[in-house]
Amino acid sequence: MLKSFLGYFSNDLSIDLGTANTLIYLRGRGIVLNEPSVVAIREEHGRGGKVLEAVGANAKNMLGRTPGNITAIRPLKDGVIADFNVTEKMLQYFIKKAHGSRYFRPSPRVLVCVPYGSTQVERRAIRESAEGAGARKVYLVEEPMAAAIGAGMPVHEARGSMVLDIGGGTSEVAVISLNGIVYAASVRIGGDRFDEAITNYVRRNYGILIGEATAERIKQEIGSAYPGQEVKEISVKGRNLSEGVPRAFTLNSNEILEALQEPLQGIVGAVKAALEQTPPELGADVAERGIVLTGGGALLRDLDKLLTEETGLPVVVADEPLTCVARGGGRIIELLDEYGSAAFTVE
Amino acid sequence: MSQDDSNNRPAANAQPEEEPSVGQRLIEAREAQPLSLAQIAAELRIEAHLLMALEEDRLEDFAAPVFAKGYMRQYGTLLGLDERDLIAQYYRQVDTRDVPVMQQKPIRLRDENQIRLWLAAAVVLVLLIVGVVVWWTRQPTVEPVIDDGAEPAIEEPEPVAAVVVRPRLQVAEPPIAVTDRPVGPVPTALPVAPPDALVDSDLVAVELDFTEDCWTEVSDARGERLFYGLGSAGARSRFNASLPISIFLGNASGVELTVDGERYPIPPESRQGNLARFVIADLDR
Repeated sequence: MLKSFLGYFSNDLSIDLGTANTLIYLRGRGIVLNEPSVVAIREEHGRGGKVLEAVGANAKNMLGRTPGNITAIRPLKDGVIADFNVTEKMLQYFIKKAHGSRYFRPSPRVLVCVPYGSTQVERRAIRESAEGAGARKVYLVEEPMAAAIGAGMPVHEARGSMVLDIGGGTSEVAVISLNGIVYAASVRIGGDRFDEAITNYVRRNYGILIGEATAERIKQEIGSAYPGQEVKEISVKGRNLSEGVPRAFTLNSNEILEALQEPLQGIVGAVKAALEQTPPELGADVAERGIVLTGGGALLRDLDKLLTEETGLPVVVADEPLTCVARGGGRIIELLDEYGSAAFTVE
Repeated sequence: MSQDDSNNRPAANAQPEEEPSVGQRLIEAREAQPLSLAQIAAELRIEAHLLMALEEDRLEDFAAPVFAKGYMRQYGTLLGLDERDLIAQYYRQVDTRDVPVMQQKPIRLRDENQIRLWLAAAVVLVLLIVGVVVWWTRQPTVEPVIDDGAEPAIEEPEPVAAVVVRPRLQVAEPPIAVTDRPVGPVPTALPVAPPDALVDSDLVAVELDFTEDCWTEVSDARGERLFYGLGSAGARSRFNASLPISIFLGNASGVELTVDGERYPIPPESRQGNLARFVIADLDR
């Protein structure tokens, strides 16, 4: 009762609850929040409880740098909730922050994007954490659909559109026609696996241990998916395993390309499998128009070139690939109001 | 991202008339290089007719802007053009930035809009209820009074204990008899007489002399309470009231009643011990 009343003071939200980043699209305002999905928790022995120390970007800075009484954790893993209570707290904080300083506790309608491959249990966990965070009504929509709409693909047509959304934890490839998913697959390879691959490569070849944040920085600055003309270099510091002391060293983009081969081949394999499974008519449409890349992974340099070479199809990167899912989710909320729930498969 | 600043930067010195279009720039760049359209199509895996559409600025040939922009970026990068510049120019050339996701309304039986209908219906219902309550409470409460003087029908709160007094001690029939009466005059007379007429015709002066303490309730034809309380010994109370007047006395022997200057004996039938409950219906002047 109170929730429905407060609902009149709250705007609809679309949340891309990602493993790496959480984005919130506020209806009528656009993307209002883009923060890492990280929570830092302080244990208070005196009061016997846990207190939120930081959420989002502040908490991410603490990753791997916390003392014993603080734990910085990423409550989502592979696109689904790994720690229910922390996810709920994080969502509550983000929803409040997205609404700005209001006198009312926000109680919006919330659309959350879930990975295509997620199970009923995982979806229920996401729904309940969103409800626990104050949502009046929760819609769940599959990520590839939101990504395609956010990228501006003509999903309503009776023609095939293929979208590849590379997130932090999962990559999803889908063929969409007539507002529905014809074929989709989700592989648990994403930005995190890229970071992990870089960390492993450096440890194996240099005998140096680097942290998650450093690996991510390397990926963003010199990472590429296809050999380019220029070779970039970066200087990083890590702990030398044999000597046990921090050391500086230099990496170049060809090394990172080599490091990323395994996860990249996983994604390419998923795309090829999807093309194999696509009905021939839709496959022909995809072959003509190409594949659209969305998600933070699409920002990896020359990933489109790699996919073009491997599949022989045109591959284009959407505008602002990082926000496609959240924007698409926002558009879906509007369409639900406009056309009713029959328009899209939402739960 | 950098979309905004790349939008603003060239727009400042843009000269729409002289500026070559995206297609013209692509053609120029391609002709400056020893590359044929077929070679580029093979390199980018984009069909040649789509590249030609780009060169001829036929942007409506593309299924969605996302494809046009994507091909334009790749084509431009291959030719050594600045992709951000090209995209910024693309936005100046076209108005639509978004693709219509759905053009036709799907057939649907039920949708969320019904919630709004329900809400509207609920609001109307609430207003209706409030209106009825207000109207009800503001209705004037008038007792039914017979104005032809023939058959006074008097409603008593407690008909069992009550006795209705007609012209000088004559007991009226119980009100039930009135409603059961088959013949017409009484029901037709039931509609309320104008209050003014009532006051003029039947106004009498009532005087209560208390010789002992006595709980007293007096109400007039309209049911208005003229006296309600304990009359203490030695007090005298006087008021004008319209007939019929209903009177309850807790200690009947301690009160002397005067109506229009004449002593009015308390009808013995109405007494129950020391209590008396009776109605002065008519004085028979």
